[in-house]
Amino acid sequence: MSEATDPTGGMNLVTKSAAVLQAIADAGELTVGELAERTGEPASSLYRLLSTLQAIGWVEDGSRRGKTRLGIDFIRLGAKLEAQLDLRELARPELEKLHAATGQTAFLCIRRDLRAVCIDRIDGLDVQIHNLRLGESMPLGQGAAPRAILAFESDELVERYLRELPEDEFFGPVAKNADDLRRRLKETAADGVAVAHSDWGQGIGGVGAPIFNHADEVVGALSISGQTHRLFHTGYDPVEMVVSAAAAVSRALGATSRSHLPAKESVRA
Amino acid sequence: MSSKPIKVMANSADLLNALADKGPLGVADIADAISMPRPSVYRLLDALAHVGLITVRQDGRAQLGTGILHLASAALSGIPEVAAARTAMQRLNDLTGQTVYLCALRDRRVVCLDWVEGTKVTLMLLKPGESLPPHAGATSRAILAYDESLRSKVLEAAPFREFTPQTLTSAKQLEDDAARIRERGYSVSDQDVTVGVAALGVPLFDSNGLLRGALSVAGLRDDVLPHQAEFAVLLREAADEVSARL
Repeated sequence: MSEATDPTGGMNLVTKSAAVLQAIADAGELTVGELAERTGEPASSLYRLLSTLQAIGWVEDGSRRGKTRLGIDFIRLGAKLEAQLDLRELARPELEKLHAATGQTAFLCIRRDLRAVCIDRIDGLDVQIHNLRLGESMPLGQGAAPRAILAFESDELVERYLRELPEDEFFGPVAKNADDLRRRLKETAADGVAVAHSDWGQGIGGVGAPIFNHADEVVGALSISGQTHRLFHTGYDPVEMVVSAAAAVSRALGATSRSHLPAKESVRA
Repeated sequence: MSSKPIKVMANSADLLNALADKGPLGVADIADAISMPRPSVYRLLDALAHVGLITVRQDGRAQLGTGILHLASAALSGIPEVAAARTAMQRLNDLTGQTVYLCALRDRRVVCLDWVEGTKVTLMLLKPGESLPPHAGATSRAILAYDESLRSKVLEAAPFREFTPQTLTSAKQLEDDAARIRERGYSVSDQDVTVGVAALGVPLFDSNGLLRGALSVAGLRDDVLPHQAEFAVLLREAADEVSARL
């Protein structure tokens, strides 16, 4: 379709181009014939579109003759966007919502080697949690947010954590025993959420959920903590709230896979 | 077949490039950046948002959409060199702590296909998808040293752009450098692109002996040059491993 006769000013070319890009992305590289088959567009119009997409750097010649693959420009655009996406900025509204809805202390943590560092927090209304202030860290195996991160890291990292992290003067041993921690991490991974009834000593509990990026790698966790009786026995469902807050941040980072989310979430979606 | 890109697509590319370079932009800024009337900008943003290439933030500014991240991953996995080099690059990074680059020649520029960032600093000059001319940088000069036809074409265009006082700018300097690289087996970039930054580069051949690109280890001068011999061996091993997979 030429722009002159197209009442939308060529905007459906954007849609067509996106379909072409998606088909190539799914397959790696395609010939015009294969593209025609997958997009339902006639080969003649695809030739013209591909020559345009090649001119603007969105596709390039593939590794074999006649094949087209995605252009290297997307690698540049993706790297620039990744640098622009700021976890703290994206998570802040969710942190505020969690705090407003529960009145508990809300945390945003990321992993630094074998510990989880708090990079944002909002204090609770009825108790002040002294652990994990802004910039402070705790061992990955302890507390809801750190455990939500560790549960989605590789087995190698879990084993390195158990092997290498020395006992913490504040938090004590990295785990009561290794098998117990491995079991709890499996549970956390299966549930998609870490629930701690008294990780931080008597009467303080927490709920933490992982945040994923576009490659479905864990990049951090959101959590709330407070007195166990306030956290778990009030009018709201803390697990559901933290899980959906973390999922909203994951979506903003481009995560699409639902495999990490608990069954409940998949059904609702 | 017309070689002029269809206008709406050329505008789309300009818009994505502006958002990549400048970060989130309002409609007025976009209209300025890509010289387009505002009503057309609105329509273009709608169309691009609909397919996930951009997103409109709560503050009303447009930003690149997360669909870009998925296309970037797909573009990376469509390049055989990237998949072949991944594990070797990660190990080089683990062993050296420095930034590891995979670059290849495209249209007489040396493009960064992939990197593993160093633990200490982020190098700003060469990021994935960005490129350097073939006369500057460790991967560029490694490629130039082993690609005779590129060298004969490139050297005609001397003198070359000077990034720093250390940049090799004459044909003679680059010929000598190429000979030294072939003799030694690796290139040494000592502040010829960025002051304070050094890198070592090795060529990457496939199993048929064809030059496919180059690998480098880059970082602060004091973190790289004192370890030259050790890093060169690691680079050589990594390159051999990648070659076997190509």
